[in-house]
Amino acid sequence: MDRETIPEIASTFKILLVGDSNVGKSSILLRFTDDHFLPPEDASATIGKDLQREKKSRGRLSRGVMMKPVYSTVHLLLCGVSRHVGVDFKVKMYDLDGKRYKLTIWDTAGQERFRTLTSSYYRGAQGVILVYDVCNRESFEHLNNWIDELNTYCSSDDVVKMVIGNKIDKEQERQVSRKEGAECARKHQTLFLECSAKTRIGVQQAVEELVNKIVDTPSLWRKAAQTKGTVSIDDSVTSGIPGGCAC
Amino acid sequence: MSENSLDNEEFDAIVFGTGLVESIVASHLAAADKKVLHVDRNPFYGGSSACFSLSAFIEWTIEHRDQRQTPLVEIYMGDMSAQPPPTFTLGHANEQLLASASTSAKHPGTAGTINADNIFDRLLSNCSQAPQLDMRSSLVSQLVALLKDDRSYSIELAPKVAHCRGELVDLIIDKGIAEYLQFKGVEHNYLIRNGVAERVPGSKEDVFASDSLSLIEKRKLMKLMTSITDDESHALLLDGCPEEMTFARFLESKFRLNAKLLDSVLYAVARAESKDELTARSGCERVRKYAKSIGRFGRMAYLCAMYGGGSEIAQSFCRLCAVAGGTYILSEEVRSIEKSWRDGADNGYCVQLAHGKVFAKHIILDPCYSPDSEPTTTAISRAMCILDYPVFGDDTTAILSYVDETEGAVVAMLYTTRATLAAPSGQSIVYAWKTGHLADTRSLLLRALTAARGTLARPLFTALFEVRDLRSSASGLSGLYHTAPPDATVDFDDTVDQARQLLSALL
Repeated sequence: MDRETIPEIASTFKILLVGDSNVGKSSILLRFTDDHFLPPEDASATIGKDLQREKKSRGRLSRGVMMKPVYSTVHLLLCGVSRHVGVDFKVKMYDLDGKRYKLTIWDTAGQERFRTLTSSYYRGAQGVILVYDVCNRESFEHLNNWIDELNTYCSSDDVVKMVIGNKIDKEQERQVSRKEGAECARKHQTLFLECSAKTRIGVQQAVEELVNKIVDTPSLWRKAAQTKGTVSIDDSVTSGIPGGCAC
Repeated sequence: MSENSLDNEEFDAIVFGTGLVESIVASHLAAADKKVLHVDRNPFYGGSSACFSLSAFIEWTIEHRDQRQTPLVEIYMGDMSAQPPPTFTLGHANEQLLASASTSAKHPGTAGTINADNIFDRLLSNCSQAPQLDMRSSLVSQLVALLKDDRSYSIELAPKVAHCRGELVDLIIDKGIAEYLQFKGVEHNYLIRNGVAERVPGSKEDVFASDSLSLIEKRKLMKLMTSITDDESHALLLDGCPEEMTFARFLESKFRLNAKLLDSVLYAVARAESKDELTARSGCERVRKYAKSIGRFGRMAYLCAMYGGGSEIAQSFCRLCAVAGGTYILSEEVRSIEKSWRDGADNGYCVQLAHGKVFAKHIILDPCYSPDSEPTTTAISRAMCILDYPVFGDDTTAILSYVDETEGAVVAMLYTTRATLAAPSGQSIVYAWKTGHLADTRSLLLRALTAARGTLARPLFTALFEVRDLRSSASGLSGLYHTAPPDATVDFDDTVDQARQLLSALL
């Protein structure tokens, strides 16, 4: 990415995906950022080890996509056990009203399997997408637990929440009606949408709605201002007050 | 295969405890393509460097601390400078109480609303000597006031900061997890001598600008900094120095520092634990490292992680491990860890967890997880004090060294505020720690806290406890590695070293 072609970034938003295993969080992320979808039979029994961290030049964090799935079918067969697609987070630029926002969208890295997301995962998030599978009632019922955890760890009470029912492409297997989903969202005062990461219906719209709401919530901006003066230890950033000896 | 069962799964390594050493090891193993299971028996990450809201910290003192490691926690509500008996002394938990408590065990902090009365009752029923009846209502109202801002506190069990040129910072950059963390500079370094806190100049500019130093002192400090940081003159200085010469003696003989400057360099810069701890060579190394650290990210030598150091950093490594395929379970009951044999041959380890029986070639564990672990004589005593006023500034972090005239001892200290989201605005947290048992260090630590707060601030809540090293008789078994709890140094470098040593044996 050339610096010249990018308009100035008005703000960076941290958006989290949470929800039970296998509801399609990573698929939604991949669909939104890369417009890419892993075939379901592979995605459910996905990789982990096969993924390699994108090579970074020492001492620099590469901007943009952090992880690249490099997967081999052979290894999948050997793996057998469900392993998570090791997506860390992805970065996507988003333009709204002539302003450019940098979205960092974070995936759970499989730590949701035993409900062991780190409290630091939630730090500083402006938006949270709670995902359930419309074909899996349990994943819908567990939303309450996720919302509890969210309220415990999110640093701001104003963090924008959105409930998403995924996999509406499998209409015949549906266990949670659209109405129930909407009701749950109303109860917890969150945004609501149904989508399919497979057919891409609703995915783009979901993230757009969430970002619009964040932009409209000034208290989230104030919160961001509070963390001013943080030191970026990424070596490529050498701003800050030069100290040491100048004499 | 059920999503939530691990039955009969085989791993390359199972790591017990999510402290920083364990987490660094786990992340490296996963990155090296090993299949890793990382287990913690607590409902939180961080092990012995965990970080808590105030209510969760109190819950830790009652429920989660390892009683072999920390047999006692003393809590003082209000002023403790006259060294009164603690308001609450939490000793060995009453078995019955524990049983009734564990049925209602909650994730610390998940309770939607924090109920000060409940927390007070928990303290009351778990302490060995209950406070007087007429005191109780005032204590409850003090707790209510504190818990109003419960989540604004980040209370660390083992506070540490990262050296700007230390191994941890390099590791974080190297692993690309800087994006997970936020740091603030530790802006100040204070030396408390004769009851007065004075800023220690960190750079030559600071020395120039200082108004607490005389012209002669400035010149001496300048000479010292130049000659120790310059490679050539540094080598020359040490040339001919006897190997056993202490750093204190070296400073006196080569630079003729007065007592104040000597203490500054020895304790605040080189961070010696006692006057004779460092040799000339190691002391010079520390001064050089300190000087080199300044300027890397600004004018400070150390960085402090937002929301509480060791725990946040450990969680970053855990996430790194998870991204590379590591499996995580918290709140997990570890029933047994046993050597496994198949056809008379060593088959690694068999571990019984609440989620099923699992196998591993290697076991890395915090000794808390061995039922046969016993405390050694080594311990670190730690104190944490919430002040009602930010004595060293409302939006800053500082490291402090307290020189105690009575005992001639030195105490390492850390001061945190809302700058790192560690305390509510208008308050601050001061930590003090010292190698040794609490019985021997209690009054020293209390004097250090009292000297640090000066006359402006009142202590609201103070906790003292010791953390003993545990040793297990199982150490030495092949494929089984024990970790050690955070040491008494102010930074994480020894922690990273420990992880590296374990990894060189494992990989």
